[in-house]
Amino acid sequence: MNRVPEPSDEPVQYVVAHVRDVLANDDRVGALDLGIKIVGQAVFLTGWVTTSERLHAAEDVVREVLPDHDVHNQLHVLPRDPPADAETVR
Amino acid sequence: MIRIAAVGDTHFGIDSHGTLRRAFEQLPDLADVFLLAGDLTRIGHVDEIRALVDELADLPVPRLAVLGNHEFHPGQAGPIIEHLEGAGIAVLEVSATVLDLRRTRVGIAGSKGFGGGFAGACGSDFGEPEMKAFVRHTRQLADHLHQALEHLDTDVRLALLHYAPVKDTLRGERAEIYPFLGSYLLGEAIDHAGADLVLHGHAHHGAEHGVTPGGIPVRNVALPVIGQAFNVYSFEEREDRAVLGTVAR
Repeated sequence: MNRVPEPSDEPVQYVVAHVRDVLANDDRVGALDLGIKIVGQAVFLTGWVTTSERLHAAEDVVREVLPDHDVHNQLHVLPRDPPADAETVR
Repeated sequence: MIRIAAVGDTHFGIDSHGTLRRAFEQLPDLADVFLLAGDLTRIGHVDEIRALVDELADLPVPRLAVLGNHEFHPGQAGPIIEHLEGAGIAVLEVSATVLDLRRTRVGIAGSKGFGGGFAGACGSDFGEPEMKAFVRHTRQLADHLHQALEHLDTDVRLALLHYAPVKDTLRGERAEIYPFLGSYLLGEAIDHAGADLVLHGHAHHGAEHGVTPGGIPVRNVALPVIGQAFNVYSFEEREDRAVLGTVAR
């Protein structure tokens, strides 16, 4: 498991960067574009993922690397409906 | 009317089975060809591409793809290409193909593309070997894309990329990461060779609509941008058009 340096000793922007790296490289998530905001002991995860499994996995990964923080999972699963119309280009 | 369906950044994993099949089953009624603009998989594993291929199986329209950066992460790009092509999905790697769709010849040139940034805020072929290699990779892909497009003598010419050729479709992304999302070299190559439409992905927080400095329409079809399983872009059929050709040369 990837652990970030002890958060209490680390400027928050470095912690965010480390969490971003872990989320990108963890096979359960593999996402580079999630919003990560840390306020005190709270971590807010925002953005879109393609499956509900990944929505929960992202939260699990953050809990593993920041076990002393409260994780607020505000991720959403992308809609996957077919289009209702087409754009005429020419 | 010929209809081009496209999506990028499906980021398929083994947890994605069935998530797009219902929409894809309707695609043959809505489009004549299906283009996939890279980042097909979550993290570039072959079992992830298998899951997507299952989803695309038996669709009675031509299916073409370019790879994205995620397909290169674990070093399995070769097996991924083999699996796609084995399932009848053509992979365009700085190459082109021509399709006859409803009496209209449609040429599609594809490339993953790469980053580097945009005029006034871009990397240069200067300094450390690593920096030169970064910029030269993009320049080489752009040169090959130019050649592939230029050799297409078709009624409609499309460029299919993963990385962005213009800044327009990056609106919504943080400007600091633009150099990792695309390069003006791709846009310049397309403007010089000419095309009717450019499709790309990669910029999840970007915007759908853009245009090259030469006036060619660009569409970012990343799944998080379009917010649906695919988009459809239509062109008038050959016999319906008084003037054929490209928007810019």
